[in-house]
Parts: sequence; C-alpha cells; structure tokens
Amino acid sequence: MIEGRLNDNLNDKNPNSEVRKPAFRLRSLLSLHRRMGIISALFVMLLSVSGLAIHHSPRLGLDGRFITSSAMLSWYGIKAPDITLGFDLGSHQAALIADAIYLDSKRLPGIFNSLTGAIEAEFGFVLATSDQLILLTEEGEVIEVLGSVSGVPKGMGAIGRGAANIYLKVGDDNLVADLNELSWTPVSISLPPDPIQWSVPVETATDIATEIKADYAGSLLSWDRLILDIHSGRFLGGLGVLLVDIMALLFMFMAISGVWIWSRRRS
Amino acid sequence: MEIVKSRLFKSLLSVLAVTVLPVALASDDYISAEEFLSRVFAGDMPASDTIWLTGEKKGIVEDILGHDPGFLRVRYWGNSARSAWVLDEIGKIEPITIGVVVNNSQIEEIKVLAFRESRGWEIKHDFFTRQFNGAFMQARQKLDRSIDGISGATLSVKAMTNVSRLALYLAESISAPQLSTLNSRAKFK
Repeated sequence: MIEGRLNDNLNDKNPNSEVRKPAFRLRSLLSLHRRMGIISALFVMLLSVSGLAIHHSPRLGLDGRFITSSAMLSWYGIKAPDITLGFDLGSHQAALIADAIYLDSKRLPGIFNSLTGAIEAEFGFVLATSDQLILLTEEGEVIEVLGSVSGVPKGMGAIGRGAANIYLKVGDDNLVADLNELSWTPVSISLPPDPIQWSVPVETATDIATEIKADYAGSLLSWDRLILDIHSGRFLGGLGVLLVDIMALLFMFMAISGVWIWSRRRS
Repeated sequence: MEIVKSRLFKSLLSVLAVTVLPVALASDDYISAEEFLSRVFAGDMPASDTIWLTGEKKGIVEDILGHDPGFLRVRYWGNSARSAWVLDEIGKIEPITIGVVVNNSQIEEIKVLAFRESRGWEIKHDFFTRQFNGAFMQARQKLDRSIDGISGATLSVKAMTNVSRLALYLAESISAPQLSTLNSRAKFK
C-alpha cells in the first residue's frame, strides 16, 4: 500500500528538481528498508523464539536439561576431566571426577570436593570425603550424608574396616566410628586388637570410567546456557556478538526509516 | 545558604544509600549449621534423631520438592514440639543449605546457612525470611500464606518455600515412632 502510493507519487512528472530530489531519496530509502526488512526478519524470529524460551526457562526446565551431543560439547570445547581416583567396593566401584562422586556409573546427588575412601558396611556402603561420610544402600541410594553438624571429624584421610568396626584416619589418629550413635572414639590400647584394612585407591575399570566421563561431560552444558548463547550471539564466539550488534543497529535503522517513510507518505 | 547545605546533605545521603547500602546487604553473614543449632537451642544442643523417607512419606516429599529428594533419611534436632532441621535444596544448579526451626507446627525461624549460586542470594535477608515466621501447613502440604517473591531470585525463593513446607511436614512426622538405627531400615520397607 505504502509502496503503491509512493510509486504513484514518484511517477508523477515534476520538472521541479527540488521536489524530485527528496522523492528519489525516499525511493532509495524504501528499497533499502525493504531489503533490510527481509534480512532482519530471520533474526527477529530467532531472537523472539530464543527470548521466549529464556523468559520461560524455569517453567520449561531448560536449566535442568543438559546437552549430551558430543558435537555440541566439542563446539564449546567441553572435555570431561579425568577421574581423580577410585575405590573398589567388591562388585562396585566408587570414583571421584571433578566435584562429583559416582558409584559405578551412577552419579550421587550433591557436590563433593574429595573422596578419601570407600568401604562395604552391613547396610550397604560408606564413602568418605575429607569432612563427610556418605551412607549408601546396597542399591546405591543415598541414605544420608553426615557432615560436621553430625560431629563427623574434619580432615579425614582414609576410612577402613576392622572385624567389627569402621575406622577413620584423621591426621595421625585412628578413630572408631559408630554411625548410629554418631560417636568418633580414638582407638586406644584398651580396645581389643582389631586389624584395620584401610581403603586404598584403585584404578577405575575402563568401561566404567568411560561411562562416568561421558555422563559428567553431559552435565556441563544446559539447554538454558545454549539458548542464552544463541540469543546473545555468543554461540558463534566474538563474531556472533558482532553479528548481533549489527542486527541491533539494523533494527534501529528499520524503526527509524519506517517512521520516516510513514511520515513522508502522510505529508 | 542553609538550603544549599540541606540539599548537599540530602545528595550525600542519596549517594551513600546507593553505594554503601547494596554492599552492606551483600555482605557475607552466613553461619555454620553448628552455630545455627547452638543458637536455636541456646547452647544446649539435643541429640539428633532421624526420619526415614519410605513408602507414602517419600511420595509426599517428592510432591513437596517436585523431585526425588536424593536421600532416604533426614536428621533433626529436638522433639515433636520444637525441632530444628538443616536441609539442602537445589536453587538453580547448586544446593542451598537452609536451617528451619519448627515450633508447635509453625515456623519459628528459617535461615540460609550456605548459598552457593551466583544469583538469588537475596533470600538470606530478614526482610524476606520473616515472611515465613508463624507459617503453618494447610491441606496438601501448602503454606497458609503466599510468599512474596524477589525479582531475579525466583528459583531460590521456590527452594526456600519448598524447604519450609518440607520441614513442617517432617515435623508432623516426628510423633510417629521411629527406628533410627541403620541396620533396622529393612523394617521400614
């Protein structure tokens, strides 16, 4: 409609050059406005869809969903770190990778900064960090994580088993741990001798290690992050940010030129 | 001259309010779980006990949190009349450690003990947590009141609200007999 009316105006033969000059500028601007509009339409759609997704991210659960595609992880340069250390639990293995502890290939809920040992217990397993004891069922479910608020001593260097007791090594001291009474009694000569078998690190089986690394890598890039990066252009690095900047300038140009063309048509 | 001085004083106050107040609000005033419990029980901390989350109880806890709690046993200090809880709940990615005191089925106090996220830490302030004081549980584990949110801290507010509901629900469960030794768990299956 606008274009039609403008073309009518432009086709009018007007010998007055002062009138023809603005008309020529208007036609050029309209042409530019139309071309820029087609280019920006794609970006408007992209920004609108990604913006809506970011706006409703918690409801869509995008922050809790992670990308496992190796190509996408590779694009981001995400590579799973190596397993820090592991412990043997008979038919199971416990392993620490970065800030996560795995029982076989199942990640335990929570963030853990160390793993100092793992032993079998009557109810399942006990995993020790430097300041926490993680109690697990035989199926690997977390019963409870005991920390300093439960009296667990800090600076545990190892966990071990005797014939009847669970032992903790804290500095040079060995403590008898009673997980029901939450008592931590230093081993003294008054106790009957109980040879302690300390948990020692072992190399994690290759197949389990591969699964752990794949699972851990798959927890590092959320959909929330990806969509935010697409929206901001950071998905393409510095070039993407520059591209979004150019698009922002283009949108400003579209808005200003659109209003100007509209006002010229009315006048 | 007086008017000029007055305006200057007001301007300085405004600058201070804008620059100093946010820094003061963002200061790190978290306390450890031990300090929290010691304060709650005035230094005479009772022995802890536990509640197993099995059967129907586990289902209700999942409904409250909106996900698997990730643990089978919850520890508390106190008794059915007054109990203190130290619970972890995920805000966005990292767990938030929250201490809750339940007194006669009402929240006496709720406090953030550790906040690990980069956003949403505003929930630690008294102006927010005091909304929970006196809250009790209605049908279907809902609070008796709506909690005003904080812009930019939606997930943290949700986490704290869910923890308050969880503590109220668990406090109601204390009166039920508990066998809390690890090896007796089979009896609860």
